[in-house]
Parts: sequence; C-alpha cells; structure tokens
Amino acid sequence: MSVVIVSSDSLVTGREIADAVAGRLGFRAVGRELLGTVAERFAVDEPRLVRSLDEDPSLLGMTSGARARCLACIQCVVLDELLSDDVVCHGLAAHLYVAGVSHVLKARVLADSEAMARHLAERRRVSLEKAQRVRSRQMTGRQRWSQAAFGRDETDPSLYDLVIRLQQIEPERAVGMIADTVGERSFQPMTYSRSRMLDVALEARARVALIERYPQARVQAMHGRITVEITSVKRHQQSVASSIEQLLSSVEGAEGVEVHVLDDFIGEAIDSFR
Amino acid sequence: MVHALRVLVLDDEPIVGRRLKPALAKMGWEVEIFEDPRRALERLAEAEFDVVVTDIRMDELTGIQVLERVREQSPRTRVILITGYAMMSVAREAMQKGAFDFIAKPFRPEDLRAIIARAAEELSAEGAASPT
Repeated sequence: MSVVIVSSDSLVTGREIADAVAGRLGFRAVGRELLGTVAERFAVDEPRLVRSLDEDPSLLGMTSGARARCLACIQCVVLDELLSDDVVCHGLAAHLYVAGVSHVLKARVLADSEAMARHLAERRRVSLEKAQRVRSRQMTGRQRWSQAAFGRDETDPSLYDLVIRLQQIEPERAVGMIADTVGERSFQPMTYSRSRMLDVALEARARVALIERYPQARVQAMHGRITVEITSVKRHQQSVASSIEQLLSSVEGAEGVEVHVLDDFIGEAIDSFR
Repeated sequence: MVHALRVLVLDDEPIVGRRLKPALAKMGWEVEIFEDPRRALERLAEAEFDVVVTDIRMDELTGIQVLERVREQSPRTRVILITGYAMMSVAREAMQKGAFDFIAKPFRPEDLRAIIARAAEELSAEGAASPT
C-alpha cells in the first residue's frame, strides 16, 4: 500500500487531518512522537530536534550546521519508518525530503487563516489586525526555514500532489479527498517506487554517517550504490576518499560506495599563500 | 488449458532482448523478443501473451502507447514497463493506465523474473492461465 505525507501551515490542523486520514485508511500515523526514537538512537536532545524543525533561521538561533545534523538524524529515522508503507506522516518535514517516490502522496492542508488569526488574537489578547500580522510573520518564517533547511519553499504548491484550503472545504471532506486520491492506482507501490524509497532512505543513512566529519558531502544512492561527491585539496584527496569509504562501510543496505573527490581550487589557492 | 507462460519482450536495444531471452526462457516460459514496436504490435494482434515487457522510450512508439494498445486488445495480459529514464510522472501514468509493474534499468534478470512470476501467480489465481 501507499504512504501519505500531510504538510500544513498549522501543526495542530495538520496533525488532526493526518490522524483522521490514518483512521479512515487503517494506516499508522507517524508524527512528532518519533522524535523520541531519533533522540535515543542518535543521542541528541529531543528539544533540540524540535527546534531544528520549528525555529526560523536567525543570528542568535541554532547554527545551520547544528540544524543540518538534527535534520539528518530525523530524516534517517522517518525514512526508515516510511519504508514499511501504510503510513500517514505529519510534522516531520518529510514533504521536503521525500522526492521522486511515486507511491507517496503529498498533501498540503491550509488551515482556515481567518479562524487561526481570531484564535491567536483571543489567546494573546491582541487585536485581530495584530494577530494577522503575527501569523503573516510566522508564515514568512516557515518559508525562510524550509529554504534554509532543504533549499525549497514549502509553500510552493508544485511540491504537492494535492493542496486543500480548509477555509473553503470542511476537514472531513479534505480527509476524504486525501484518502480517495491515495487509493488511485497511480499511488500504488511498484518495483521502481519501492527501489527509489530504499535509495532515499539509504541516502539519509549515509548522510548521517558523514555529517559530523564531512557535512558538505553530496550523497546520492541508486540501486543500493552510494555515490559521494566532495571537494578537497589535492594532498588530502586520498585520505578523504578512504575515510569516507570507511565511514560508509557499515551503512545498512549499501551495496557499494563510490567517492568522487574533486579539486578544491579555493583551498589550493589558500594553501599556496601559506 | 495448461500452457507455458507466454512472454513478449519489446526493447529497441538488441542487447536487452539477447540477455533477457535466456534468463526468462530458463524458467520454462515461452519468450519472444522484439526490437521493433510495430512488429511487436502485429504479433500481439495475432497471438495472446500472458505478459508483455516493454521499454518506455523507443523511437516509433512509446511503452505507454504499447501498454494502451495491449490493454485494449487483451485486458488480462499483464504489462511490465522498463526504462532507463525513470521519472515519477511516467511511473504514475503507467500505473494509472493499468501497468502491472514498472522497473528502472539497470535491473538484474532475477528482479524481472520475480515480477513476471508475480504476474503469473495473479493470472493463475484468476484461472486465466496455468503457467509452468
């Protein structure tokens, strides 16, 4: 069976829709509770993982390197969960890192923005206009976060198979639309999509293995083979390649590793001035 | 009537057919190989096959067109698409149009054998064929 990823501009709304879709389809719902598993497996503080998913990029906030490390760990665990099918995933940014897998339906659910602003105004005891401005800032922050974390704007509708605006459509109807769509033949798993999902999960495992020492490495997996591209000055190229091969040697599911170390011209230039 | 599973393989790269024919025939299946999509369609019009394996990207006809033609002529025939240029949109289109499976090149012959065996099981369960 298939996988559904629900993304939303409201964590609460997204969660409610995801749970209802899971209930309707008899699928398992996977959400923020998975962060406990991530924290345990990679010995990272859970609040830190939450910050990496929620905090806008800012000068005083989490560094981009720390955020990348946390997100790499989250991706690794989430993708392993999604390998088992019949899952509805929400709140873990999976819509931004699961790409090219045809049996994964990505749905974006837009909460009723007027109702959200009214709720915010009541909660913070501020005017509706001020609440609307706060909400607008929050949305801009999410765009900045998704660009900084994954190089994609999560508000871009072309990322999704289905975009539903709850201001016009009842939540129950939205749940039905998602459940009906994922039941279509085009979202059924096939050998190609299963293989692609295995590769996406393998890439995530490889990235986690490399992220401490080689955060700039570009990792791709195809048919179980991992390809890594990285730059290094000439005198270190051999040791970098061996070290990467060593780090990836125990990655589960890897059928081979290829490392391409490209010339680091800037590093060479700096070296020549020393 | 009990008969060996009939498999038609269509790929305009001769090497694919040359490699796949012995790999599939050793399962006891009757395998016919075609490089020209038009000749393959002529053959499909005169004989019924249990499974059709077709490449997607070919000069004269696409695998999706072959799939559509096979589904019109023989809805029970299982169509498996293979491609070296796998794209999600094509994979979804193929499934929507009734493909049995979709596999990206390169693949191992045993991977394709496993898919064909699944198709044979499905056909067998339908009572449409008794594959060996």
